[in-house]
Amino acid sequence: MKNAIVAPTVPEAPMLAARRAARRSAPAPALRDHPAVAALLSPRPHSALWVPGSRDLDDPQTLAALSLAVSAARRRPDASRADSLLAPHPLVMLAARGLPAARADAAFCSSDPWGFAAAAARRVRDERPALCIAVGGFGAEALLVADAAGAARASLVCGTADLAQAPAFILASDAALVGEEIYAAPALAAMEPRATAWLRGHDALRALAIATIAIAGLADVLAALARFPSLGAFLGKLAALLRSDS
Amino acid sequence: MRHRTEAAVSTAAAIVTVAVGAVLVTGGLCPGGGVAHAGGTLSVWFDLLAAFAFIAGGQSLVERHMRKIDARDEGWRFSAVTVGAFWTTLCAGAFKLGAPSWETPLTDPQTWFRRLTDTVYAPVQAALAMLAAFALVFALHGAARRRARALGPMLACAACVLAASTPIDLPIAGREGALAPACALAGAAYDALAAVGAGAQRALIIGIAIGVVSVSLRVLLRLEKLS
Repeated sequence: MKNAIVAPTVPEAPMLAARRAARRSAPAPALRDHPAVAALLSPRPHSALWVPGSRDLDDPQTLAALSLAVSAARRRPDASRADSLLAPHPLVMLAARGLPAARADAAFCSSDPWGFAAAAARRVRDERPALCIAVGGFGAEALLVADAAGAARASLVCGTADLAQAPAFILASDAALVGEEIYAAPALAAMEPRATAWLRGHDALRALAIATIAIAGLADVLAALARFPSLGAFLGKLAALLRSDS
Repeated sequence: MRHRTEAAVSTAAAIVTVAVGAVLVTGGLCPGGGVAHAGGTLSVWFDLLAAFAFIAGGQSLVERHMRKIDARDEGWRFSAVTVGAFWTTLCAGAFKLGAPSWETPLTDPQTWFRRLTDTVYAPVQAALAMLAAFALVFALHGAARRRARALGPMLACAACVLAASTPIDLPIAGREGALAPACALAGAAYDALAAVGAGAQRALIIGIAIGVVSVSLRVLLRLEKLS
């Protein structure tokens, strides 16, 4: 046997390795089992109708909706083949037709939000899809789509970052993505290491923002406190301020 | 060969996306400079390109409705009206029908396009807005019936806001300020809701802002390929 030089390998502690692997691949536990993402990825015998908001392609919510469609199609190519998408703008239709996970049936109906919602509602009633996914920027017109989905007994997954529209979606849908969740949903549906890294990046940035606000608020309070001779004087002034406000 | 052409087109699209994105981001961060001006010009180019997309949109619309008319599907008469309205408006606008000269703007009262807008489109849109209000009430009623559990807290919040923002100081059964304690309670509840709501809204807005930045960066850096 020749004298081969073998580099000594240091085996990693199994627990540590497992923890590292889990950290690399799994998103935050609270988001992993999001009902909306689970509904998107669950096996279904019939087609789904995508309604990516009633705004143009320059709205980040529309981009997030298309990104979610791509992620869902990559995870479940068999189920997504028969899906259709109703576009609120010709550019959205062209973008949807050129998606990497090919979506053959993308149609444009109207760029007027109410006209678009009416067309989407009509299509839900006609085609009776098993799942209706209304994720994107919506106004009050989204309730028409939600009502049509309810009447057709289709499962409804809604999502919007419009704060005024969120309560209506929570009320009307089976599962709702609220606020930032629509931007995190594509990564949740993809479940790839890179997507997980993006999610972790979101969380880190949010923690940084919260910490900055907390530190700035504390510094403001301390600066105000320094202007008073004692803590008692500060609290007295604060109480007087609150009383005068009420 | 086809594969190579597709790859070349994809690379060109990536270069254009990254370059335009860099100009727009730089222009947003440094307003007033030459880069910001270039960003404005690029936005106009985007609008021009978007106008061409309407041709594809129109084709999709007509194709779908013509198929419906051809097959005499349910509601084909509505499709016929849609296609008819589409072609009439397109011809009236594209050929400037009714205009005394080609230089006359489309918004001139003599053009057919303007007449169609004033006599058909505006009244129909107003009627639709009115009908939409009714449709929304029914839709909300339907949603509330289906998800009665979620409706409770929402209605409670709405009642608090309504009670706190309505001045109820009418004398009831001859007593001045009979409802004052109830109003004070609703006011306190409203203040508490507003404080909690403001905090929650700010938290959501922070998350949304981070999400917008993240999605935009993913598209600009071509990590998210949407085309």
